[in-house]
This record gives sequence, structure tokens and C-alpha cells, in this order.
Amino acid sequence: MKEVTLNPSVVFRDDLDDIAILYNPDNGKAFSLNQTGAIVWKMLYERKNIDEIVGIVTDTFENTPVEIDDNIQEYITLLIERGLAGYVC
Amino acid sequence: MTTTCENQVTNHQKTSHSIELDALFRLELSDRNGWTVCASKAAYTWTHRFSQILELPNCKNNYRAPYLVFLKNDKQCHVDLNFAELAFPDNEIREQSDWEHYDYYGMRIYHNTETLDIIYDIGYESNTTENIYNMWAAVHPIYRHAVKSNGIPLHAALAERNGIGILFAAPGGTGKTTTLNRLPGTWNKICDDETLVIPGIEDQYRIHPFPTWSSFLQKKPLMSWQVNSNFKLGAIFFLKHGEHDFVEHLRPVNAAALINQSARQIMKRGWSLSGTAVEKTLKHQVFSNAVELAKKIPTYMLIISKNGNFWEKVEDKLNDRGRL
Repeated sequence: MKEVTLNPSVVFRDDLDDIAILYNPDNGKAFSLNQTGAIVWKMLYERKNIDEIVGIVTDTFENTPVEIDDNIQEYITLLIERGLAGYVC
Repeated sequence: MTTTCENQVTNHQKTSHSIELDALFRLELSDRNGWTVCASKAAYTWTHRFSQILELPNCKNNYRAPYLVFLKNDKQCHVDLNFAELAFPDNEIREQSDWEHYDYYGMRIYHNTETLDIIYDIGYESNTTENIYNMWAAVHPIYRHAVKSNGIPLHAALAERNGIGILFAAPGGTGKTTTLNRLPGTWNKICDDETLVIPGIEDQYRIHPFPTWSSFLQKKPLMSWQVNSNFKLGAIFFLKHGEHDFVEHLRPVNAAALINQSARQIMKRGWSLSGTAVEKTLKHQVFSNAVELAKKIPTYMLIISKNGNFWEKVEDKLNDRGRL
């Protein structure tokens, strides 16, 4: 399984309201994250792999959809496409 | 194009080679940070004009602050700067500081990490347009300093009502000046392009007006802005055109992103000039300051119709929150 690493330039702030914000100073773009997105970001920061993240999200939230692992993978793909994260070679 | 002259002066003592500086004006921000504006004889006319545009008061004899020093060379090169030869008005020796410099338009700007002094080599004889660009560049280190002190420059018009400063933010050419001009006489129109937000006490912010430098390039009449003046910041409105006048409260997360964008519109002109490390630090600091501002100051999207009384919506919103 490929390991995900976060772009070290990106700033994460979750002290504004119930939405967190990711800011990429290299291109000036900011992205808002919902609660789940923020939790996943924090777990990626802690270098947890996708299986661990899926397990924690499933344990934390009620009524987690069966396709949660696909959802998290799509989210990580989105982060990578936007230059906010990448795979460790 | 500028080139560096051959070293012409080797004597490091303050001798007849010294560059005598006159303390002329005072630039002061609301957080009590300020500068004494000094100029060499050759740079006096330029500095006087710059200070006129910023409506800087004359320097008092006992006023001591960091220095903004303006130097000028009559030859077609930058001043061959030897810091030991600068005769600061208080005779303080500042050549020990670890000076660095960056070039911005025709200007070479020296700064250091130990003091707030900034030395500007404004280059040699230049035309009016170049002078304006240089003056525009000369305020950039002030913005940089403010960012390090948790302030933030914003691309916004400033209007005052009942002593409270209200910002109308938008990118260039999208309605700041028109919005300001449409405000009724009960509003005091302060500036229409650049402002500097400075943290105050108890989660308050103060706002300083800065010049609309482009107005000089468009050959508009002589104008000036009282940069030392400041107002308590009441709210920020981001402008958007629409069919009907409407005010929409922005969640802090959206406000932070828009404030950051507005600051980048000002800062981007010069923040890459000191290398990538400084640029990265500045970008992070600007974003952090934008977040803090968004948490403390109410921020709105103001949708403006072509002919409506949009200011009534603004006043209603401010009255609701006890901000006017």
C-alpha cells in the first residue's frame, strides 16, 4: 500500500468554526474541509495508512456508509490532485 | 537598468565622506510602531514629495524611532553604501546590524533583523512614472513589518462613519472606487485602494489609509492620504455585483480565505524579492493574520446593484451588530 504524505507547505486551521481550512501558500488557494475531512487530514498528518483511517472513521461515526474506504480514497486523490498531498515513492 | 558603482570611499570613519541625513518627517502606526523619515541632501526632493503624499507630519526634535532613510545617487548607479558612513541624526552607529537588501523597481531596499531601520537607495535621476513606482515600492517594507506584527494590508476602500472604519474590499477594477463614490454624505470617504490593518487592544483592530498610487500614473490631480490617521475597524464587506442589494454574513472560514486573497493582492508585488524562505514565511504569516482577523471582525459579502441604495443594507447590518 502506498503511503500518503502531506504537502509540508500547506497550512491547516480548524479553529474558525465547524469547518476546517487548508491553505496552500504556493498558489494562494484555500479549501474548506468538513468534520470528517479534517479528521482524515489529521490522521494523515500522524502518518496513519488508509486501512487505519477507515477503521478509526468507522469506529468514530455512526452509520458509516459501506463504501467508506472508497470515499476516503477519493478524498485522498482529491488532495493529491490539488497539490495538498502526495504518495511517498 | 542600474549598476553598482566601483567602491569610491574606503574610509570607514565618519569623516567628510559621511552621508549627512536630515530627520524630516514622522510615520507612525496605531500600535506605536513608527519611523523617523530621513533623507540625504540628494534625496530630499523625492522624500519631501513622498511624505507630502502620505501627509506625514514634520519630525519633532525629540522624536526617536527607527529610521526610514532615503538616499539618492546623482550618477547612474546605486549608492555604494557603507553603513558606517551614514550619519544618523542621533549619531547611533548602526553598521553592526546584519543588513540585507532586495531590489524593487528602481529601488534597493536594505533591512536587518536587529532593528526596524529601513534604508532605501532610490536610484538615480528618474522620471515621474518611475518615481511613483518607487514610492509605491517604498511602502512595501512597512507592510512587511506590519505583517510580522500580526497586521495585514488589504486591497480595500475605506470609509468612516461615526468614528468607525468600514472596509469595502475587491480586486482592482471591480468597484471599490465606484462604491466609495456612491456613498452618501453621511459617510467620510478616506481612501479607495490600499489599507493597512493593525491589531489593537482587546481583539480590536485599527485601520490606516494608504495612497492610490495608480491615480498618479493615470495623471489624476494631486492627491494625498493621511497615513498616520487610523480608525477602529468595524467590519469588512467584500464586493460583488448583482441584481439587488444584499448583505450576506460570511462564515469565518470563508472570510479568512477572502481576507487572505485581498492581502495577497497587495503583498504579491514584492514578497518574492527576498528569496523563497522569506516569501514562504510571509505567506504563512499573512494567512495566519487573515484567520485571526476573520475570527474577530464581522465580515460580509455585499452584493451591489447598479442603482440601489446599497449603503442602507450596510448601515442596517452594522446597526444590528451595534457597530455604528
